Amino acid sequence: MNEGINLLDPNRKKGPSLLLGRLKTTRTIVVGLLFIVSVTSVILFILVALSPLPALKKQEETLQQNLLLSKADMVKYALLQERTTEISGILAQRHTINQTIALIQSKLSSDTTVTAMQGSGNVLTLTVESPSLQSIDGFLNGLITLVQNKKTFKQVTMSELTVDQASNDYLVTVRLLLL
Amino acid sequence: MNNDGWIGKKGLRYWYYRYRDSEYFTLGIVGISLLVCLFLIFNIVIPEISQWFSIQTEVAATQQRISVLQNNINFMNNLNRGVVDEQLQAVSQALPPEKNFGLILQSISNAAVSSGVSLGDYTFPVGTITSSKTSAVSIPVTKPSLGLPVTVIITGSIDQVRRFIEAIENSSPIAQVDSIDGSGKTVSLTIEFDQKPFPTLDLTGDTPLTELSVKQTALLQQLAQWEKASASTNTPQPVSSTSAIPLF
Repeated sequence: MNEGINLLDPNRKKGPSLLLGRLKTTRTIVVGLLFIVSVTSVILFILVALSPLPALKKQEETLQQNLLLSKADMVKYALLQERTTEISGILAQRHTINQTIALIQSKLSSDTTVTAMQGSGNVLTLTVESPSLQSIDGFLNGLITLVQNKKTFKQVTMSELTVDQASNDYLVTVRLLLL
Repeated sequence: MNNDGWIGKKGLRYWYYRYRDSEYFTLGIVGISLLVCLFLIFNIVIPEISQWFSIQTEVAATQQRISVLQNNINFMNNLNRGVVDEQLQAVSQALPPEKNFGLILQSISNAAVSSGVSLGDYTFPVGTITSSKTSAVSIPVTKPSLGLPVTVIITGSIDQVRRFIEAIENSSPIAQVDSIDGSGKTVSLTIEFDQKPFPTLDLTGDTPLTELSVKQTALLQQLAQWEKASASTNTPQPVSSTSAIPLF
């Protein structure tokens, strides 16, 4: 008789189903995830808000202002560096013709003189006068040695050899190609 | 006992207790939580992480700039301004920013005195002396070289000529003999005196200032020696009493 008056559905499941149990576990995990994400957001927000960047920018600005007082001296120093670099470059590239002449002079014997000299770019033409053919030969051999040693000259060409009947001197014209 | 709220109104509490054990409620919570998570990740977490990394990069760059600025300030405080002024004057004489005929003539004159050659004619092109804005006729520049070529005729032995060239090459302004043409004792030289305008400097405080290199210091010493030699050539030689010729 008692069973006849039971208003509850007798087919109603008594315990939680397996699906519901799994869903509850998933719910716990997802809520935990939400908590973690929320905390991470707050931590990141605090990290960004408390970054030292504004203070550093201010310090940089102050230092810039301090350095601005020495701007004129900085410009002078920068110009000094620029000029020294430029001058070094020019000096490294230029031909020093006085050294070439000194080298030629070192090959001249006492009775030999340079009577004419023309030069432009890396070509130098010399006319040498001497009463002795041996001296001229010595001079030419000296130049050949310089070419062979690859020192100053790349090539030596004898352009002309003449004899001055009046003075009985030999004149030789050589064309030197500088390195 | 008031049970009206339970039976008649069906408020939020009713629905909560009605569905709290159902799978729909749990699914709803999971879904909403996932949506909020996604919203937070894409709208807050990822932008904040990105911003944090960019801030860290900017902090590192700013710290580096601050370090350079502090080094520059220290460098400028320790710099001897008088020496820099002198050195800048020396290099500006060696490589003038503009045509300086006075320096060129002085260099030629000093070289002639020190080598013992006698100086003949010399010519040098002046070029445009009026401002291009006011000039009605424009002169085309045929040679883009920054140097100023000067032709000098000198008379002397080969050794004197060599010493003249050496003196020219070892004095300010820096010069290079472009061509030489002579016979006998008369030689015509074309000397190119270098000049270059000062560059436009874009100096910022965070450009690191460095000490002059050994090569640059050696060059400055060399220029100082040239200047010293030039000054000694310019100094008038005292006439000794024994060689002085009495006028009366």
